[in-house]
Amino acid sequence: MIYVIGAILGVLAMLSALLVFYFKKISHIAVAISALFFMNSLLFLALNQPILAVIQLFIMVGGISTYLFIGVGSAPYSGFKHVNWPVLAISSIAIFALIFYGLQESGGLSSLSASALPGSYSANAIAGSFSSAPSLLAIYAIMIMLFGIGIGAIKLLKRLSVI
Amino acid sequence: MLEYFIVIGIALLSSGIGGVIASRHLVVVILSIEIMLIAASLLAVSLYGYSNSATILPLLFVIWAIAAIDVIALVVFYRYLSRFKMDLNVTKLSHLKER
Repeated sequence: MIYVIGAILGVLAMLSALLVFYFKKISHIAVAISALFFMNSLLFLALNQPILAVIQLFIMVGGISTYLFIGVGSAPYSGFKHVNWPVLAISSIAIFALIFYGLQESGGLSSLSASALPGSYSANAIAGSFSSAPSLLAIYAIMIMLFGIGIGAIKLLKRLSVI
Repeated sequence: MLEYFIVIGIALLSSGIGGVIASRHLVVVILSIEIMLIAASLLAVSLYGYSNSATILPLLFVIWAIAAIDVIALVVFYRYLSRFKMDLNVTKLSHLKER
């Protein structure tokens, strides 16, 4: 089960990272990177680290709201084609291959996994993350709602032509 | 299971470095650095269960501090964006030397 969840979260995180380079408006880019932050916090939950996941969302709410305001304010200067996709693909794949090759040369990923501490990556990590501290779940939900309110407020202000 | 998270972290890290190399948008360059920091924090938390080390929290604080400094740098840049009619295209930042 945890393998499926890890794979889905990994694919969604990579998709969010690529959407950061795909979009042109900064407000859209901020939404894409917030999705990446959210996937990262879910990965922290899968690693059985709920407090770090909540702190990650704290940082997300502060940082992304700043990006959103800058995105709205600098809209006239933005919107140009900014990514060279072939360079992005080639450099990303080359760097990934370089790091992966280095890891394999130094013993391989499977040896890392075999020598991990027992119980560190258990199948019920996400469900069990909040069981020790249920109040963290409320903080987590409040953080998500705050971010939704931020995006909704900026969209509403743009629609009303206030900003 | 550990290798899943490490592969995801390395993939995010390489896409962030690729974004810094391939993008001309100043905000996207800074957000690429954020992606690299996200990948670094994911790799640190992944390897925490492997190393049983208590030194992960200072490392994460450093990562989050760098992320906050990124945002502050962007705000400072935005302060001067309209005053000097600057552009978000990093290839045009050399025009600042003429001012």
